[in-house]
Order: sequence, then C-alpha cells, then structure tokens
Amino acid sequence: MTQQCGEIIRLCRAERSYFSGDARVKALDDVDLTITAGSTLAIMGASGSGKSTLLNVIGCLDRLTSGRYLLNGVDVSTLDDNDISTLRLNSFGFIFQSFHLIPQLNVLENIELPLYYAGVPGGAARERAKDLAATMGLEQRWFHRPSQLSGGQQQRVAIARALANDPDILLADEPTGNLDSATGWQILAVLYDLAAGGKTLIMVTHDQQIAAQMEHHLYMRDGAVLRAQVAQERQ
Amino acid sequence: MNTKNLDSGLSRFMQLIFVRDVVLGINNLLLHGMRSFLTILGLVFGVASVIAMLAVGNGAGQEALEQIRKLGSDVVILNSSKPLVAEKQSQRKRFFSVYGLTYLDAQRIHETIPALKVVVPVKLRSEQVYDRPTSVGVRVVGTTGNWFNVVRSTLVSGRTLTPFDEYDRRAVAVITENLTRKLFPLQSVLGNFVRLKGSCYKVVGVVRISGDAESKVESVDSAKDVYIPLSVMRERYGDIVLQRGTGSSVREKVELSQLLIKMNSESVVAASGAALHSLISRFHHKDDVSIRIPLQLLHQAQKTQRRFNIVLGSIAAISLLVGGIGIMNIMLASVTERTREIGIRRAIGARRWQIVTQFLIETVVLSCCGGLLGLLLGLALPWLITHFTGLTTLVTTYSLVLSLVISVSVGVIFGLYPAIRASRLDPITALRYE
Repeated sequence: MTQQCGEIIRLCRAERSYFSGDARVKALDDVDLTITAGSTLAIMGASGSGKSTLLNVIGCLDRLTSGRYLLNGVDVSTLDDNDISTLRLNSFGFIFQSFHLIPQLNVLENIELPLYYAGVPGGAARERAKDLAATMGLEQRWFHRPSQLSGGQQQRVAIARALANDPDILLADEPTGNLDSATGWQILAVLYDLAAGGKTLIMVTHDQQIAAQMEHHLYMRDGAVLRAQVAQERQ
Repeated sequence: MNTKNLDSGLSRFMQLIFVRDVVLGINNLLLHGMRSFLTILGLVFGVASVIAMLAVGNGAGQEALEQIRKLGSDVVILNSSKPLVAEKQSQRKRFFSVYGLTYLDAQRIHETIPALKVVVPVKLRSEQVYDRPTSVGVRVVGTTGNWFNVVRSTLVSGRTLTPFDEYDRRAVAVITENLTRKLFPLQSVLGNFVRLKGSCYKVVGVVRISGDAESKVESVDSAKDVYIPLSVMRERYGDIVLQRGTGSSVREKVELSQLLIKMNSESVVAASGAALHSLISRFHHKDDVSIRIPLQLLHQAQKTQRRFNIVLGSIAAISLLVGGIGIMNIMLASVTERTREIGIRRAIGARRWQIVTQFLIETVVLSCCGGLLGLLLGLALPWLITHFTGLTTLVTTYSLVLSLVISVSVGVIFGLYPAIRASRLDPITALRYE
C-alpha cells in the first residue's frame, strides 16, 4: 500500500494467440496498458473481444505469447510456475461470474483455502475466515455448503476468499453476471467499498452503468484496445 | 512468515497441510462411499492374499522345520541300505547278501571322528506281538541308553535303558506310550512282560515320543517302538534276516541298521558329515550306507520354503498390481471429474506440489483403508483355513508389516501419475471445464 500512486501493472505490446483448428486466433493483439496502484478499471467490449483473456493475463492465469508484462516492475515471463502461483495467492484476488466455490467445502473452508495454501496455521486461518465471513455478512452461514446458499451469498463467499490473503489487486470477471440486479448492486457496493479502501479493482463488465462507477474504462474489440479513457477522477 | 520462525513454521506448516489434506481426502472419499469401497476391493483382496499365502507357506514350512529340528540339528544319521546296483557274480553265489553298517564301523567312527559326542548303534526289526486278541505290529529297536539322549522323547514312567542292561544282557524293554494302550490297555505297564519272538521282556519304562504320527519328514523314532538293549537283541535275533514270502525270499546279513551320531555342536556337522562319508566309503565298496544330515535337510527345507514364498509372493504381487491399477483408474476418473475444482485451486494460488500432495494423500488414504481391510481379511483367512482344513498356518508380524508397507506404496506409486496429471492441468482450461 506504500506505492499508492505508483504503477502496479504494465503491459507492453502484449499479445496472446492460440490455435483454433488451423486458424491462429489473436485473443490479445498489441495491448499497451498501465494501471496505477489503487485505481479502478472497467474492461468492456463485446463477447469474444478478449477482455477475459486480458483479465486472465493480468491475473497470471494466462501467459503472453509475446510482449512484456511487468507486475510491480517484475517481468512475469521470467517467473516459474511456483512463483506465479505465489503471485496469484498473495497479490491477486479473483472473483468469477460463476463464483467458482468448491462444492464439497463449507463457507469457512472455502474462505480458508488461500490461507491454507499460504501456510497460515489452522487456528489463525479459522479466525481470519470468521472475520472475513462477518464483514461479508455471512455470520449465520459458516457451515453451509455453496449449494445451500443464494447466488449473492455465494459471491460474498467468493469475495471473502479473494480477500483472504489481503491482495493488492482484485480481479472481477463479470461478478454480477449471474445475479439479479438488486443483489448485483449489493455485490458491487462491496467491491466499490474495497476499491475505496485502497485495493486496485479491475472488472470485466458489459454494463455501462456498472462501469460508470470506475475511474478508468477500456473498450476492446477483436483483442485490441479500441479506446481507453478516464471516466471520473477519484475523490 | 519471518525468516526467524521459518524453521518451526515449516514443520508446523507441513503438519497442518498433512492433517487437513487427510481430513479433506477422507471427506472426498466418503462423498463417493460405494465407489471408494469398490475401488479398494482389489487391494483388499491383494493384501489379504499376501497375508494368507504367507501364512499358509510359513505354516507348512514351520511344520517341516519343526520335524527336522526334532531330529536334532547336531545329529548325523547313518542308515544301512540295500545297494541298488546288481551284485557281482562272486557275491551272488553267497547265501546271504551282506551289506550295511557293522559293529566295526561304529567302533571306527567312535575312534576317528573328533568332534563327536555319542555314537548310538541301532538294530531294527519289525515284529508282531501275537499273544493279544489282535496282533500288534511293533518295531524292535536294539540300542543303548544313549538313544534317549539323542532322540528327544519324554519319559512318562519308569526308566530308560542303562549301561547295566547292556552289560548284563537283561531282557528289559522300554515301550512307547502309544504301545501301552494297545498292549496293556487294562493292566499296569511297568513290571509287565511283552513277548517278542518267544522271549519275554520286562517293561521298565514308558516314553512319549514327540511329534505326530503323520509327520511328513521321516523321523528316527516311531510310535510303535519297543526299545531293548542292543546286546540282548544281538544275542536273540542275530545279524541274519531270513524271510520267506511268496515268490521271494530275503536272505541278508545286516549287523547294524542305523548309527545315530551326535556332534559337539552344529558348526562341525557339515565337516563331520564329509569325514564320515570318506570313512565309510573307504571300508564300504558297495553303496550300502546312506548319510542323512538333518541340518542339511533343514537348509534344504529353508531353501524350498524361500522358493515357495517367492512363488506365492509373486502371485500376491500380481493381485496387488491389479488392485493398484484399479485405484489409479479411479483416481484418473476422479481427476477428470474434479478438473474444475483443480482449476479453482490453482486460480486462487495453489502450487503444483500442493495439488500433487492433495491427490496423493487421497490415494494413500484410499490404499491404507484397503490395506487395513485386507489385513483384517488376511487375519481371518488363515484362521478359517486352519479351522476347516486343519492345515497349520502362521501369520507373522513381518507379513503384516509388509502388506501395510505394500499398500501404502501402491497408493503412492499408482497415485503419483493421476496426481501429477492433475497438477499439470492448465488453470484456465480447468476452470472452464464443465
């Protein structure tokens, strides 16, 4: 949190291509992007425009075919799988459209998972999971399985899990896509709060209204950045 | 985590991962209880068959070893045996075929072999006792008191033979407990007389021979033995056997049927065996003496048992292999089924080795359950075998430990591939997997 205004993510001539049959498809084509710590970014575009790929690349789930990706000044392509896993564990919090909770684990266990991979001892992990569940308003749901929860509750669990290791960057891939609008706005409120608290928030969305709350907008088409703009200055 | 408490932290960390993974693994397996059970069935039978087969093998071996050990591992037995090769023309002309051990042999052995404790000369003759309601077949053993030192038997009542019986040529007999029941069912044994070939022998002692009658290995003593002093036997029976049967007749002269030689210690048995062999072959030009060394039989039996164990072990190993492949198959299916879960775990920061550990522990938990169930079954099987067939079985701790070690290794070996495969999944593809 020390480099509040420093650049945290930088993509230079980023390209990601894959083969679909014989055709070479460029999911990302020559993307340049700089994100400063603590800012919020909405990535928008039609489906298939490469916004999810961009988010995955930023979140170190995917690797660039060419170009450079600097995270806090470190070239991610030089890191091995172990280091990248550690990055995902400590620096990023993922929030997915379809929640991606592990069905056989209960709420607390799902939230504990990143703590457990980070090696936090059982008791401390449980305390932290309980705290997180409380901040997300899930006190009554500790031992429920994901299937016993509503969509909004599931997404809250997912956010709690994303926050477990206190990452600097939150990556949300259409977090409200599977929720009704009222619940969706509640979830978004939670995310905006977190951003206001100093987290870098990067969100993929279709919805102009949602994007309107974000500082920066990035419109994409066919893997390339169509337009980038600063929508509003943060107060 | 600070570098300061990294060391203690690391061990705690490993412990933590282990406990949680085990609990998680058990939960996952319980989620598919029936499937897990069917999966381990192969291993259960594999482990059970390892234990049961080793138990049967050990039991059989143990029985053989027991019998050989009964003869004494420090004993060498010389037997007179009728030479198989056709006798030369000159010898055939003689009225008797002369072969076997002589009194002189006993003397020579006694004087030449250094590490020897006692030499027991034995004369054997089969006989019937007729003065009973039913005739009783006995084996007359002419020997000295040393017999009872060499052949392990327990004295039930009375006394064994003494040197005075030998010197004074007393017509006394020691009989086996088994024979007393046939010969003197209602009378007191000691002081009673047993009539053999027209002579009466006063029974002075009763011995119980060890081992059962159906022993597979030929033992020196038998349940129908009547022991009398050698000098008496020599006097009353002579050395010549004449038997006329239909179509054949036996005319032979055998001085001693057997010599039991007890050595000072086990270590000299092999060397003494060789010395005895050269001594005998010097004075016996025919192949009419066989040397039996129980110690060598013991080694032989141990070798046979090892071979037996290897064969049984291989069969069991194959069944374990099949069980292991079954587990691997299910784990591969499970990895495919849980692709999304693996993707989620990887996305939130699980390292590859953590995924490997998770799946490996699950397989090991599975195979341990299989191992334990197999162990129980493996303990029950030999018991049932003994109960229904009467075969001796012996479950050794070694076989139990072995089977548990094997089942854990099966889990590790056959779990490794599915676990590694799980960890190699691409997180994005895994996440999108439906």
